[in-house]
Amino acid sequence: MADNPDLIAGEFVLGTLETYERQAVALGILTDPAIARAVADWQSRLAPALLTAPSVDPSPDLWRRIERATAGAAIANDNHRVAKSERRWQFATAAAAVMALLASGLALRGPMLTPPPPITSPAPLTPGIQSIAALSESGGSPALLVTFDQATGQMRVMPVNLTARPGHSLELWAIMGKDAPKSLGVMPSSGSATMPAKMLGGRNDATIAVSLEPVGGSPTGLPTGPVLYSGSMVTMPVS
Amino acid sequence: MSAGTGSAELGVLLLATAEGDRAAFAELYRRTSAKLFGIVLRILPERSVAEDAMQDVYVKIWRNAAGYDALRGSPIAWLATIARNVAIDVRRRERPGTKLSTDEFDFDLVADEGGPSAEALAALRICLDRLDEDQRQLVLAAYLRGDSRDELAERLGHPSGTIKSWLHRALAKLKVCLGG
Repeated sequence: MADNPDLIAGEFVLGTLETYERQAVALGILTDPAIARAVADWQSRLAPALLTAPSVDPSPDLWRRIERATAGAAIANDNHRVAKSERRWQFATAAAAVMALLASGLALRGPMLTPPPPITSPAPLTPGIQSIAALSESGGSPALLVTFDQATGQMRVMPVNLTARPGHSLELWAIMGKDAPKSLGVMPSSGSATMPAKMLGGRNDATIAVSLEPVGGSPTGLPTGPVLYSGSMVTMPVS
Repeated sequence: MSAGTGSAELGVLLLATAEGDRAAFAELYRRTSAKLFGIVLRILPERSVAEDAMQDVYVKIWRNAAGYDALRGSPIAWLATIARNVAIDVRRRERPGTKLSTDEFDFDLVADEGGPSAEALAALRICLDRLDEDQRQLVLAAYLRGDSRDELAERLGHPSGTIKSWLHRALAKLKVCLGG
């Protein structure tokens, strides 16, 4: 009998899944609004039990450490512009997803130590589009359109309805199968962009996700901020 | 201590924190750190490890305060979930081989008097009480202390597959009891 996906989501929240199951749910949270929703629902069902922990005062020094650790981070703190009603517990679920990916060890494969280069030099749209993805907030209208032309290996990213996020960069990621997300580059502050997308390796079935990152992109080579938009590449019939 | 964790007040403080208001963030810390430290300590009993995790917890809260949505649950439940997830991540990452303590395998779900999530907790407690005792303890050991499926199997002396089916039965019952 196949496992009930909702109970798997519940086990994800309990933390009792095997590594490979956890990875599958983690990818699902980033790519499938129904899974993200199921995980968020289990979080709200169970969270009240956390509050039964007896209060314990931490040492007075802890606050000073936190103050120091957040002192330079003010710039990363203006994501209140994100539509909250759409986000719900997306931070908690996306963070759990990325943590699960990190914990899986997949993420350790060749981490980038420097931020990725910005995507530059927009090129005219070529006629040979083969795959397309509409990236949106969960259940929302598209914010970005991504097209991929296998003949030229060019990916083109067009903002459709993108909220400006001063003090941040939007970074694109390709998620393929069980591999860790691969950075495709950082969106320019305005306009559309093209980028070589050889890393897709000729695959048309990637999921593309956009995360909110410090200016210049993720310093770790993996998404560090909330995932704002995602969508799957759909291959167009050749006319 | 629970006087300061009312939903409305914490919601206002979270909103201000999302706007980068450091005084609000300091007040949020003052009102919530003892509760969150208790949650983290249940998963990471070593105080110094737990305090390191607490630093990560509050850095995350500072950066992501805007991700909180009042429609989704009380502020303290949202904060507690972040604390719990960070602590479990540390436990899995840094001490995967830690031998289990043989301490009490029992959780007292006693809330603060009139705490902000008192009603939600009351409902959850009623539903947990309807589970078989073994199932209830499995759910709580996993969620509150961070025990993995294998650790639970070893502790109870049952195969991992049995634990999984008990957990699924418990979750299915809980979901129905809590109104889907």
